[in-house]
Amino acid sequence: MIGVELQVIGSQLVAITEEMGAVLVRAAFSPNIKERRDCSTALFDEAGRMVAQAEHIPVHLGAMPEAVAAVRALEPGVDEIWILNDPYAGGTHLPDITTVARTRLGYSVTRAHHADVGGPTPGSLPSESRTLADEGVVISPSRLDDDVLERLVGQMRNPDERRGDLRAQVAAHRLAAQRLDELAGRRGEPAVVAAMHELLAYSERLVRSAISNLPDGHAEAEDVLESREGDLVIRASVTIAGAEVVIDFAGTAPQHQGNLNCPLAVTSSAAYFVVRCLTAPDLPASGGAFVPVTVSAPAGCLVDARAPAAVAAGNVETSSRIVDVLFAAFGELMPVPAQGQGTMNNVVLGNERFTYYETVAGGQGACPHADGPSAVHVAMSNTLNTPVEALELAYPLRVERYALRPGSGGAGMHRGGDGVIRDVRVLEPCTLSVLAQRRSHAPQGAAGGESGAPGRTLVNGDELPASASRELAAGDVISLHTPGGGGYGCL
Amino acid sequence: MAPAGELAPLDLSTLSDLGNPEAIAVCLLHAYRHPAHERAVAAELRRRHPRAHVVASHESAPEFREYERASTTAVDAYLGPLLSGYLGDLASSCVSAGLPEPLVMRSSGGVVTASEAAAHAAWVLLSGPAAGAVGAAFVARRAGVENAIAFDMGGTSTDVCAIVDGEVRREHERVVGGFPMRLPTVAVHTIGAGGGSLVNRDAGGAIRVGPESAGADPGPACYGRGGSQPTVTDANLALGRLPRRLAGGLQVDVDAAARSLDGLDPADVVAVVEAEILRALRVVSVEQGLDPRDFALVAFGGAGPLHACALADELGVRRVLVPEPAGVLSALGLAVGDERRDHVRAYVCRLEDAGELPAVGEADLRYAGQSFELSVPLGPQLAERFHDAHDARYGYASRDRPIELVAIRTSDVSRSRAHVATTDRGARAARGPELVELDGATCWVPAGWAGERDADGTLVLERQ
Repeated sequence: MIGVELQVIGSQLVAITEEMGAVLVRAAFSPNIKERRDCSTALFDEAGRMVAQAEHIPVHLGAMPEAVAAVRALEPGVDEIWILNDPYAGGTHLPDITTVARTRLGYSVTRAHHADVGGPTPGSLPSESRTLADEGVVISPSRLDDDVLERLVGQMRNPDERRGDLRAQVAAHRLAAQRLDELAGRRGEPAVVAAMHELLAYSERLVRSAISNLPDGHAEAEDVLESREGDLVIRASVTIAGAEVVIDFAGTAPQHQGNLNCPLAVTSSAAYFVVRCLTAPDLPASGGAFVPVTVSAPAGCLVDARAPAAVAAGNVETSSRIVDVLFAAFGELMPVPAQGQGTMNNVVLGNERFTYYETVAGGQGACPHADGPSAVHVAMSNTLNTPVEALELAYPLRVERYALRPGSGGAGMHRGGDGVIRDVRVLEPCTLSVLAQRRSHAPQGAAGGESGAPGRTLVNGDELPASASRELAAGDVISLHTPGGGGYGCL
Repeated sequence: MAPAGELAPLDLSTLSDLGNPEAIAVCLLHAYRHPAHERAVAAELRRRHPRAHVVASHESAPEFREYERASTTAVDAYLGPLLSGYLGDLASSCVSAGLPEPLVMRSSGGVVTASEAAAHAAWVLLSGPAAGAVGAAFVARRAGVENAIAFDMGGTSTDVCAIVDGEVRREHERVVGGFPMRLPTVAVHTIGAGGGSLVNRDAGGAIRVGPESAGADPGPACYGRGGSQPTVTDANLALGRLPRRLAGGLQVDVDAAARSLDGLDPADVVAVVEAEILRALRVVSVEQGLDPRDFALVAFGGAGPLHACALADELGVRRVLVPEPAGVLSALGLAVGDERRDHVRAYVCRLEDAGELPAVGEADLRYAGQSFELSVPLGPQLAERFHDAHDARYGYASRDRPIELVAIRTSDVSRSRAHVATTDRGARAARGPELVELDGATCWVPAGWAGERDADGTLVLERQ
């Protein structure tokens, strides 16, 4: 049984994270944060456990504890704000800049995907990076003050926008501090601390109870990522035993020379997302929910990479495939949906004057009882699209087609969702960088359903590989055909 | 069309054959500022399909951002035939009965003629909740209260809305049934918790209220119509906050309420539902930069007056108004709503290049490069007031950054001439703890609260 007062305070803590997110989105400058809400906010307790998270995109789910641990180790003072993006010291990939503030009752955290963090390629998601240094400015955990802020944004493209976005992150921390003060003033500090602990225990109880309702068993699955060196295997085993889930990635390919590597924080986040889908999707995100889930991987493999491996595509592409592999493994034990597009179709266009970054929607896999939706973000991505009118106003780009891609969803008792076709003409010379997957391996159907159509990337009609960079001339047209989702069940 | 205008001339022969549609929505890129092509397409479609209800996006919602504009236009077109048929029938029935043509409330909280309402169906989608908020603003103004929060708790849901300087707050966009609607709407925030919301304990041991509801049938367990799961109403009855015979004459069964609770403490149930409502009240106050301590709470709906004082204590609100017609306040709102016509003009240009602006209305402004706007009342020193508003809302202003004007919103308002008659029921004081029965609602006055009815019959409760 749970004390109602603690439940009531807990709901106010969740509300604080939501209000932090509202402030961050409203105050930010870049479309990626404001319009697409590529950001998350959270509160942690004194011990560095995540009490509540308002996450707008699943890939941020549960990937913040490492950031808090990294800052906590440096013993920050109350109300100090720290900044980091180093994937090997609490971060995920460089464009995700995390800020951590020490509060009177723990920590507040924000994470936002910045449209550019410097480095040789506009957008800082190079398709051909080989080490972390190729991908932009690496920020090890440091105290954020005006000097640090200016020094950092000075190394990035569009420093005004970066400064605005970072200030929006700071504004969210100020709000958290104020709201925590008010809450502690009204309810008393000990009650708020007790409510934090109760929220953690409550979410753990709820998830344990849901896992207990799943069938016990052990299963394995594998899938591949497309790279220049050939296909890279991701292999996972899952074990459901009573109220716990154990996930291990033994058999996964070693980290590679490209940028599909990811730190274990990103891998864990993908694993939590899958377990959450299978257990308690409506549960407010809280660290307690992750306690019954153990995630491990061989050190130095693709999904537990070590410095200085490049990671640009790990967060956006490898995470999608980890979800696919885990669903496939759990699918041996219970019904699961067919595979969705399995890629975020990351497109960056830019030069020294502008940077445009967007992930493009595709088909979702069909479920046991429903068709898959068309033209949506699938699994680890959950962002809005940039309006064509906003895009054409802000950038030297013209969208010539944005349409459903009919027939790309797999057939079945329930159809997979269709992908989209998006043709963009560039009006001045710029660099194109595409990070995508599922160009040669199609999203698979489930329970006898057919697979969806794989995706395509074309420049002036010429096919590009899954990940590629190109210098474009004014008038060139890039055309994305995103994958359809797999179907479910025999026709 | 491109942001700067025409790229290529329109070729109407490429319009595909649409068969025999009932309604058609037309939305072309950049039509919010370059409507020529869209206008031509709509005209051609009206020529080809004279019976179809054709709506073009620049008529329905001439605003920047194609998805929201298209979604609004599609809903407008889709609902048009149904609503215009209904309102046409209603108007002619009124005329044949010797009554004037009815006025219809829009989501903005203002009324227009039935034929105007029929032309743009999407504008009336939320007229019901809007009417409640307008009724609350009316009651508050009559009681001399300019700043208030309308708190309408019914059987299945709760609607809340801030009233500032005597006016209901409006917003320019909201999502209805998953569709973004870019239209002026009373800023009502709704949650799925009401008197009939079902109560249960989840697998983690927490008490959950709603969003499932017992509805009117079977209704709460205490109605004795076969409901066995407890509801918020059952908890209130078990706490002695409801009379044995409800407004309307329904005799309630206290034992059935206790049985349904099955050991759940009814005070815990009330604490949980009040926590949910508190979050909703914070969304329309603190999250908008409004300090609730400067506001009164206007409580209505069948269940609102039961919870208002406890919520006021949590928010630091010191005054609660309970209108006499608390159970039917939306009807009062319909009767007293002003005639109102809203207009929007999209600019999307630097503020200094916008030319002369209207004197009264609102400007949607942003720093160049931002993609969300702040609405600032028109008037002198607009740029300076935008910097101040940005600073107040987000904690910083960038005074050297250029400002963009995205849209100007204006409205023509003629004040309602409705006359509201009040019946003097004599002074009636209340002092908590006390249960006050109204015609369509019940008010729980907890210890520490007291007050009396004013000339309108509004119960004005103050924190002692």
